[in-house]
This record gives sequence, C-alpha cells and structure tokens, in this order.
Amino acid sequence: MIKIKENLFFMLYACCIPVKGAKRSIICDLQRDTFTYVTNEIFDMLNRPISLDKIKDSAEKNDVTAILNYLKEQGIGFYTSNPENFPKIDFASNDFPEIVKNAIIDFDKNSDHNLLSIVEQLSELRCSAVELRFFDEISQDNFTEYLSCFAKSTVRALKVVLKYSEWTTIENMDEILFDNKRLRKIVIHHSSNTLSQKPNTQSRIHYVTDQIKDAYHCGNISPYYFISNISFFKEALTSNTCLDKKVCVDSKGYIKNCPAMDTSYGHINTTKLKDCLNNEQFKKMWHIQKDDIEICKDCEFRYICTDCRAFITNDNLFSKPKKCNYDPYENTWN
Amino acid sequence: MKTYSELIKDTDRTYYSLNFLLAEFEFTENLEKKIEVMNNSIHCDYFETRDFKPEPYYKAISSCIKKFE
Ligand code: SF4
Repeated sequence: MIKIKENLFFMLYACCIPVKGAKRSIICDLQRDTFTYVTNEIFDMLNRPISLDKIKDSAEKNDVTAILNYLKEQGIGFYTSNPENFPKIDFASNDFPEIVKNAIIDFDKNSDHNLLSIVEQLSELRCSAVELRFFDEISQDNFTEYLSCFAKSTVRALKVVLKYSEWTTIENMDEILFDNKRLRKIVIHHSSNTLSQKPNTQSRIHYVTDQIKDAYHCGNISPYYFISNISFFKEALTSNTCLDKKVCVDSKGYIKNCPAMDTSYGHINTTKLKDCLNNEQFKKMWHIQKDDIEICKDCEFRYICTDCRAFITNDNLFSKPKKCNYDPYENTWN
Repeated sequence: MKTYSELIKDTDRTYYSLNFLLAEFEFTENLEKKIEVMNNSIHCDYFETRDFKPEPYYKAISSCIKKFE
C-alpha cells in the first residue's frame, strides 16, 4: 500500500492514454500493447493531474485513493510533486518517412503480374511492409522466387498468406523463415487443424482452418486485431487505420485501395503505382478517421481498432465496418 | 534486488530492444509481483508485441483470419 504524502499529484504515464466511449472507457498503454477498462467517471477524473491535497477532504477520498493505488500498481500512473515535468506525447508530428506505408499483393492461379517490378516500384515509394496473399496452391520453387524479389527492397516486414499444400510443413517454414529475415509472419490457410508456432521472438507461423479463397475474406474486426502502440494510435487520430498510405494490387493485377474494393486505378502492367498517388480520389480513403465513422466514433476501442472500408454496414462511406459485431452502447460483442 | 532482464538467456538478448537493455539498470523491489502484473495484463496477442520486444510491424496489414487460437 502506498503512503500518500502531501503536495503530491497523480498522473498517468505519457504512454497511457485514456479513451472515452459511450458507456465505458479504456486506458491504452501504448508501450506495453495493452489496455485496461475503466469507468467513464474515472476517465473524467484522470483527464488532468489529480492533486491529492484537493481530494483529501472529500467524501470519496478512500475510493479515489484505492483507484489511484490500483492504477499505480498496474504501472499505468505514478505520484509526483512536479507534474509539469511530465509533458504529454505530441501526436501532431509526422515521423513516417514512407510515401507508401504498406501494400497487399494478391495472387491466384490466373495471376500474371510481375512481382519484382511491383517491389521495385514500392521501394521507390519507401514502402516498409508488404503482405503477399496466395489464394491457390503454389510450388515451393515459385514461392522462393517470389521471396527473392524482396532481396534489395526497402521492405522490412513481409507477411505471407499461403494455401496449405504438401510442402508447407512446419520444418520447411522454419527453414524459409531462417533464410528470409524480412519474413515476419506466415499464415497457412485451408489447414486441417489450427497451430501457432514462434520459431523465434520476431516471427510467427499460424496454420488456420479458414478457407481464404479471395480478397473478400478480409475486413474482420475483433479484439485479436486490436493494436495499442504509439504508431497505430497516432495514425488512428488522423488517418484511416487500414488504408492510410496503402497500395494494393488485386489478383487480376488492378491497382486499388484495397483488393476487396470495386474501384480500380489502372492495371499494374500499364500504370505506375506512383501515378495513382497523384489521384485525389485514391488518397481520399486514407483520411477517413475513426472519429468520422458512425458508431465507431462513440466506441472506446476506436484508436486501437483496425478499420475496414470495403465492407460497411450501408451505402454511407462513413458507416461502421460490416464485420464488426461490437455494440459500444451496450459493451457487448454480439 | 533483481532486474527483469536477468531472466533472459544471454543467447536471446540480441532479440530485445534498447528499452529492454536500458531496463537492466532498473532494479525492482518485488520482481515476482512485477512479473505477475505483466503476465496478467490484457495484451494484444496478434503480434504479441509487449514492451521490450522489437515490433515486426506496428499493425496488421490485412485482417483475413477470423480468429487466432
Ligand atoms: S465499433 Fe468501430 S471502433 Fe468499435 S470495435 Fe467496432 S469497428 Fe472497432
């Protein structure tokens, strides 16, 4: 139990940010990738440093002290006599050097787009993360050739979604991960059972039973996709958490904001990726924030939740993602 | 007094971030309690990024899997 001295203030750590929802709030811990539920009353109380002198004569003194001590024990806040020494994080600065942050490139058995040329274009745009999704089986040789396209690229994180086939064994995948340090995650769909492996602290292999047949198997919203880190939080405050600075090439080779969307901005064989970035219509999607989206704007998870603009509840571009079954007014997942 | 980093094998240390290495200098009065708090806090297990771990990438690029076990 912490002994409360006078002239003390309670503050949240700068990386612990309270977010208010319609019925409850959360405190997002952007350093540990966690969040903690709190009531809206506690949110209102935590909005500024709490002077312990001010609460010492109040009737709720014991309750408030117990809450503050709990938050301190959880590593969310601390006591200080100099609150002015602990400024808030400045989310206004833009420290993303990428012109394109990430890209999805889809393949099926009929695809004939040239991955090397796409990766070269992405490198010019300083793209740092790519997801390759294969809806149909491919051979190990073809797969290795695809991976080799990234050897001289700016891509630092590569994720691959592969269809299960004979060679996609855990031993093979381990070896492939060892040889390709950029490869951070492999998801194998159409697997007969579910399995997750962590061959090292930086990569993951997931075998899942989901049958991912095309780009429409996307847009899932669930706590499994919640991300509480500073880059994501900052993005959520100003841009779309899925589409911001994203470029996609669908399995037919069309350049889109998302492979599941209808609108395309040219074919990869005839259009340069960077030319699409001059199109205002293309970039419009980047700026749809959670605070603009119906229902999401009242949700306590809005700054840690991925968005989806391809599948939405109605014709309004600003409506809630269709595949989200969370009700922020009742706090229930339906 | 112990530091949290003492629990990590020497051979695994290169995987950990600068934050973690700095934490070596931070002693904690009750290490068991600290570990218990860390282990019981809700975290996003999509990337399993916790403090002290390098981020593979800061977010999911797509969300095509319904649920991770
Ligand atoms: S209501 Fe919106 S912000 Fe909340 S969980 Fe659903 S999609 Fe995410």
